[in-house]
Amino acid sequence: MQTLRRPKLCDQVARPIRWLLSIGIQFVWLACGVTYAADEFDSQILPLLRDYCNTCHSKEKVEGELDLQRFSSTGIVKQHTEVWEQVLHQLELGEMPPKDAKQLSNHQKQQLMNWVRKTLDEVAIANAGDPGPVILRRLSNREYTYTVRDLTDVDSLEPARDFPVDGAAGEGFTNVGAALVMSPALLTKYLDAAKEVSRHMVLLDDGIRFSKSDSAQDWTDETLAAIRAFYARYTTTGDAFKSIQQGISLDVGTETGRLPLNRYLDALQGRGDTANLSPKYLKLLLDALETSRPSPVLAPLCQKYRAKELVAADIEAWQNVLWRFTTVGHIGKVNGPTAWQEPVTPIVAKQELQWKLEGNRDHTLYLVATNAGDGDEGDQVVWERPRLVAKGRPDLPIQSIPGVVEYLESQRTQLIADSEDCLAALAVGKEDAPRESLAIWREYLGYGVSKLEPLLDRKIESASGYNFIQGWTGDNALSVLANSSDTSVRTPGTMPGHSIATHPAPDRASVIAWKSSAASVLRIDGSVVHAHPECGNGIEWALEVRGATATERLASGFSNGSKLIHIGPFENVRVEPEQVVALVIGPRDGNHSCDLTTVNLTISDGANTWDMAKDVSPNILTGNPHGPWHFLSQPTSQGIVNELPEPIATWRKGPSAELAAKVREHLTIDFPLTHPLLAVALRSFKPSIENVDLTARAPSVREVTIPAALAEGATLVVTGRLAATDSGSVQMQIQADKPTKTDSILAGQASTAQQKAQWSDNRLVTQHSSPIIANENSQERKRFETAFDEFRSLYPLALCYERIVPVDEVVTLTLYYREDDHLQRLMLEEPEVRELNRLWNQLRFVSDAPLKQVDAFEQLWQFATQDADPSAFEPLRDPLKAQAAAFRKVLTGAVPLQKRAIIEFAAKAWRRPLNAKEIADLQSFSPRLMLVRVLTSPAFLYRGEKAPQVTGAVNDWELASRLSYFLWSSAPDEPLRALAAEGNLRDPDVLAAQARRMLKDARVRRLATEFGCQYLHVRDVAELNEKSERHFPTFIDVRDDMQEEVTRFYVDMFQNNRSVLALIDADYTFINKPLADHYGLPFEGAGWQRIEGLRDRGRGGVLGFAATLAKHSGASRTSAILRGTWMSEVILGEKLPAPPPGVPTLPEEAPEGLSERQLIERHSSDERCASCHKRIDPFGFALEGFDAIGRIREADTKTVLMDGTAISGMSELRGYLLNQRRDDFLKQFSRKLLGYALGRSVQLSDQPLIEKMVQAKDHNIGDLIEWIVRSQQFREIRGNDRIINQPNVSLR
Amino acid sequence: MQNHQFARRTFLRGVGVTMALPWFESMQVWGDETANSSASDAPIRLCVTFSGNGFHSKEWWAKGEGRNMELGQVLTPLADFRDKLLFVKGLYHEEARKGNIHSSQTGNMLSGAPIASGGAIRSGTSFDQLLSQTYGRSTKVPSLVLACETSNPSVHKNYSMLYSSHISWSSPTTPTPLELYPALAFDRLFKDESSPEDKSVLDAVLADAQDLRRDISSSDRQKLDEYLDSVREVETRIANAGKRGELQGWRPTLDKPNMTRPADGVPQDVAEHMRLMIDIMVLGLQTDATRIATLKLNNDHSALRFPNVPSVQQPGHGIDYMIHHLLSHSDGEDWLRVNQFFMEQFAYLARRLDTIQEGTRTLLDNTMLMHCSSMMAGARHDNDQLPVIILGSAGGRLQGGRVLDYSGKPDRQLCRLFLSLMDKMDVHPPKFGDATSMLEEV
Repeated sequence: MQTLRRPKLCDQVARPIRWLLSIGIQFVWLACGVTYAADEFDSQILPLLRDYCNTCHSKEKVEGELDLQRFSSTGIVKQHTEVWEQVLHQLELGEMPPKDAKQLSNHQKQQLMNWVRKTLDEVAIANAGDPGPVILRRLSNREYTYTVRDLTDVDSLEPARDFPVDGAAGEGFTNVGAALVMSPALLTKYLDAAKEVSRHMVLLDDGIRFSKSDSAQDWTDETLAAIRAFYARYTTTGDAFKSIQQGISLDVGTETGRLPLNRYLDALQGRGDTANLSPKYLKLLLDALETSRPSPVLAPLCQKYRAKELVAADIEAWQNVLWRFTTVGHIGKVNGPTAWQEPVTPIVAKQELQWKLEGNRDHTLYLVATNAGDGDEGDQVVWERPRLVAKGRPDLPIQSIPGVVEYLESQRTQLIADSEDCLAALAVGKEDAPRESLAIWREYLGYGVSKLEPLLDRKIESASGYNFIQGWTGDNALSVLANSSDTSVRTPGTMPGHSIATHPAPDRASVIAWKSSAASVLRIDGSVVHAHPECGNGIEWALEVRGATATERLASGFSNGSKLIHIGPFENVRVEPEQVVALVIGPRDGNHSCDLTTVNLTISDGANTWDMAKDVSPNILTGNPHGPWHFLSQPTSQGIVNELPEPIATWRKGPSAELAAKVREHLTIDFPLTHPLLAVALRSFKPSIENVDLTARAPSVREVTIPAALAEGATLVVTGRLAATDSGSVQMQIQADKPTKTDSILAGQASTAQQKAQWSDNRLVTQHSSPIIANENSQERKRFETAFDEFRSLYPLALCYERIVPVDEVVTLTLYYREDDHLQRLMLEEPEVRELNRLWNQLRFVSDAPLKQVDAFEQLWQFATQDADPSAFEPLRDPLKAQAAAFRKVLTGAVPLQKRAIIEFAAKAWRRPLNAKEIADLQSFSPRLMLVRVLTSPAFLYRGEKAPQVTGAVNDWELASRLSYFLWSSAPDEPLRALAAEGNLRDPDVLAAQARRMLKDARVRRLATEFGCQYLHVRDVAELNEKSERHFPTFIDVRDDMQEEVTRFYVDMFQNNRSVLALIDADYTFINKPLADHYGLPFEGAGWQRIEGLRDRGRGGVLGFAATLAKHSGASRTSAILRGTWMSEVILGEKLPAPPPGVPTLPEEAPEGLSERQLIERHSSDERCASCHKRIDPFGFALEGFDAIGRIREADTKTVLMDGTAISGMSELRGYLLNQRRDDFLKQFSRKLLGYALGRSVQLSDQPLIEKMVQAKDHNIGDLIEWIVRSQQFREIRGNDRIINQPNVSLR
Repeated sequence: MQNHQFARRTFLRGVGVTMALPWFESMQVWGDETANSSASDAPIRLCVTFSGNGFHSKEWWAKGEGRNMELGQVLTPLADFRDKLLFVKGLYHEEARKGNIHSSQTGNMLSGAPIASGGAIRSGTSFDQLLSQTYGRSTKVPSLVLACETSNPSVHKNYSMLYSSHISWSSPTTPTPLELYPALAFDRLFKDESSPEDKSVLDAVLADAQDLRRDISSSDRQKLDEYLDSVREVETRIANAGKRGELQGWRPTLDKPNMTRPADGVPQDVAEHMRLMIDIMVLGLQTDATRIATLKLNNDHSALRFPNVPSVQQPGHGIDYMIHHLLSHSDGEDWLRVNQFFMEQFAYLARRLDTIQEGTRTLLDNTMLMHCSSMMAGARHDNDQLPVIILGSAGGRLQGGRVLDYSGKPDRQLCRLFLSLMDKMDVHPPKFGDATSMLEEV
């Protein structure tokens, strides 16, 4: 194959040529200073044509539609170079003259070919740099998609998915104007696609953004995610923490949003780096920790810091007692919290201290008074009335303890001695037993009076608006109600006609008691049904027979939804006079919401029957007690007591002397000092020592010992205070271990609980285990308050409420809650605060929250009217309405800003500045329609370029588009736009530098697919459906990866400026695990990896890509013809003649006993086909070592190429290409790249540029691309003067 | 699917893209029409109504067949329609039983999808909206989604209350916006709005093209003329759009609304509001402005009161002393009365549809009219079985006058019923919600 002479003169002469052209001379062949012998054509060439060609290609015959007779001079030849290129090609192929015609001698043939070549070269040089005829280009589907994605920054948009497939033209790419058509149907699709894109536009308070979703909810979620991501930069991440409300576990907040103390402390104390930490907070902390402070809280921290021993736990101890979290779903309601994170101050004037003693053993406890870490001045303390408290016995001052033990021991002896007498007396109701012992036994066994108090004493005249619902009430919803009507109503629990219902309080159970007037044997029948099972967690109940101290529990349990629970009937229940039958209804787990319970008791002694509902429901307000019925309450903590042990219980049911003896016997064996009998005995114990206060000077420790007999079930109770009323500060504690340090401050623990009556009114109460004891208004108190404030300002628990959407109330009111003042104050600089505010404004705007909030309020208010107090929310009504009104103004005010943003968008989409008329026109549309209009305009859909009068440079904006669509298939980015606006892009150096920059960018992937893959004809391998599943079941799963390999190969080549020869001889490629398995290559790890040493494994470059090998194969077999044709035409740029008519088709599968190669050889031996197949088949035979999906296999790969070179297999084919055919490959690649860059066919006048590219040193792709972007054809446009109907002149 | 795509692309390449397009597109449009049996039959419509908080625990039942069917007291307003009534018992949504009561139901009423908690909003596309993706292209409005109670945006027991207020979902994160205002619902059906917008855009881009044409070369002008001609032709098509109906075999019995546009705002009276919404829905179906309609009569966890409904328990008053939600807990006489009030609305809708003759059938016969609620009995909050009734015979494909009882049977997903109903309209997703097969009996 011949090469062109390098056209050295061309650059210098280009301008005069254009000047000449501009004055109307179309083709000037003398201008390059080359002169021709006018007679060469006449004397040498014309005779040859006349003798060998014109017999067929004459004016009359016009064989092959070719008339060579009309070429009577060199000038005419030069005007129709396309004809002569074809002539030359036919001569080179040896197709002409035909075999059966008169043949040219070798010398004549060479003479003719040389002349044609020379003449064509002259034309090429003369016209070098001609921009050529480029037809107005619509964006291809790919370009449209990429442009939309870049403009919106949303990579998932597929607006063109329903568009018809684009056609290819020019050099075989889908970016050539001629093939990019428009039709009404397509225009409608563009309109629909624009509407679709517009549905992804999010209108904001200050402009627009785009989302991958077209759902408003997703837009809100995206903004939420953006705010949370912002928060996460400075805060910790972690789990949600919960609060239980009405039996439902709800998130109060999350661990996310907390102050990440450890990282800061580590950084400040040299244990960690400051990456991702706030410089502002680092400085604040440093200042605080390095400054000595008098603060009793901060000073110890500074001290530890100086020793580099400060850890987060030191600070957390105080954070936990100085802060608390609340619920935010109702912030703003009456008595509600004011913030999520509220300060609490652990300072009291007096402290109740309790220590619960557990286990039947001796205890030693310490009463500790410390000086609270601020010196001892004024720290005289009083331990008020230290005493042991236990249920059912008098409080015992700790000073009286020794005497008590002595007393109990003597009582025990006496009770055993008197037991049979006492029981005998009790059995018959007589008094003939030792008086003191008898009293104890009587009380223990319940032969006494049960105290019925406190009775409910407030009347309810009408409940829930029904005057027939009346009853008695105490605090916190504690009540007993009666329905005197026949009608069942909701209050809101269900109350059937003539029923009694009761409701417990959170800390008190409701007790309905029937008092016996005489000793009797009863039949007791009861029922309980939870009247309001739709909410709350139900109730617990118990039915008991009670004496003064003894209680016998007949039954107990929990409510079961709305199911009626029958209790009993219990037969033969023995009661003494004054004993009571009690039905106890308590809140389950302290949760009393929705606990209304319908109850009844029917008691009969054989003669009389008492039916509570019947007796009480008509007139409950007659009195309490109501006949024998008493309505009272008891603490929920009071569980079942005094289950009588055997054999006492047996005696109690049926007294006899034998059983009494057994009781005595039992007591002699098992009668600990903790026995309830002795507890009864203790009731009459009179301590010889009155309760005495202890005083001490802090710091001090006082030891207290409590014997086992008194310990079980007892609590040591004492009140701590200062002796003086105006000074001092201490901390007072009961401790089990003797303290070692009494002159420092202790943080202790805090616990916060809700004191809740109904859901509209929840209050929080925080209790501290180690508060500072200081008097009101004292200096010391102020000092501590200051210290706590200082601490809190530096160490909030949380920096922000990261959850944002509160779910911490059963029905929330607040939709999005913002609390990030600590974050702003401690960590953020001004621009960050602005950014955060912007996001929050966006959230409110996108979510429409201020308007929705009005609906939320109205409904919450309605709910509250039914089972709570709606007035709690009343203060919120007007502010919410005002916010909604203000928001409506924001909505209106945002429109001009949105429009402004869309105009900015339009300038990017149209790839040029907009003029005033265009802006005014766009403004007349509503924002969303405005976007539709922008994206349907020809200014967006077409790459229009202004036609100059005279051929010359395109303007900067057009050049920016040329470059960006060449390299990125998309609109210019910001740097390109800036250069275009400055008018600098026309400088070729600037343009080349931009090309280099853009090649490094990830968007160059589009060049890889649109140019690279299309060039190799593997653009569609990922969608290749033709492979036989029977033969190649694995193909379908790996075809995407095959194409991805090629794409990645190109991306690497572009980004790293590699030689284009790598396409032939690369020793590396990019694969993932499935592809490695497909190739049989070793692979470790995951994802895509670059691997080396490919040549040794029989691959490397396009010859070994599964994509190219599979694409150029049949469905079930390889095809040496397809691969050979591809090699010849695509890689080497040879032009093959069309196959002769009537060629027999090959079977899809090779017949039995015939290899694929043999099949093809048999076909190619056909006389009519042989001439071409000799050229193409050998390339395919050399690649027979790969099967139809590109896997290596055993095969005969020996072959002789057309030019006589004998090769075997892929590696020798590669060697042949690199050595013998290197320039052909480079020329073909350059031609394709140039054709793609220009969007047209390459023409004769491009030959000099292509030659330059072929000769480029190292063949680096970046250099090739730079040659192109610097070229005239790339930077210039034909003027109107040159727009003639000139046929496209193609290059050989 | 892949084969289909492949075939289509190959086909386009083979024939030549420009030539193929108009023909291909028209194929697709008429393809939908022919899917519905004979082209001269009226299309089948779907209409779903919903009320929240379930029904009276003892009075939602039906026994027997056809005209002899016995009905529980809630259903007495439907006595006239017994032979067209399909009473379906025992179906449920597994996903609706997770989470809490109220707020975590309803949102998947028509999709059976899992529902997101913690204040997030994610459910599933409802089957009415799935149908509207197919049939929406054939009618002016893809679907009519109406409501008589405003939705509540707050969070209830960890679940957004948007769930309690939306049965139609266009996508998993988009509860289909509800139209509460009768006048705006009317406008949506009968006010021409999309074409003028398209036309304004086309006018503007035509002007752009003419501007551009001045600056470009003569050869580029030829290319741009393809665009200019296309714009002009699309404009002509829009202008002629109204005449397209002539090509179809079936014509709706009414081409313009036969009622005046309702007054702006929401009627004070609940009953009047519901009647108006029903009238508009009927009109939409009758004029073939839409084939899919849903009407949420109230929310689950509803705060509506019914002063217009006389109280049994407090004679002389309306039932205004308690909101719907709490009334549902009482299970009393007044609750029953309110249930009947809702069924009266449903019966009114059926009666309206039944008076419109479409060939040999009535509009009711050509419709699948379904009513449902998110729980069986408000007093129990139980959704192990959901109340569902259907009226109308889907153009003869659905047989009424029957009671189908699935309680105690396996695979009693409500989504199976939805698959059956979609089947009547020739839409066959391989699975829907938690179901993969239809109910054979339906």
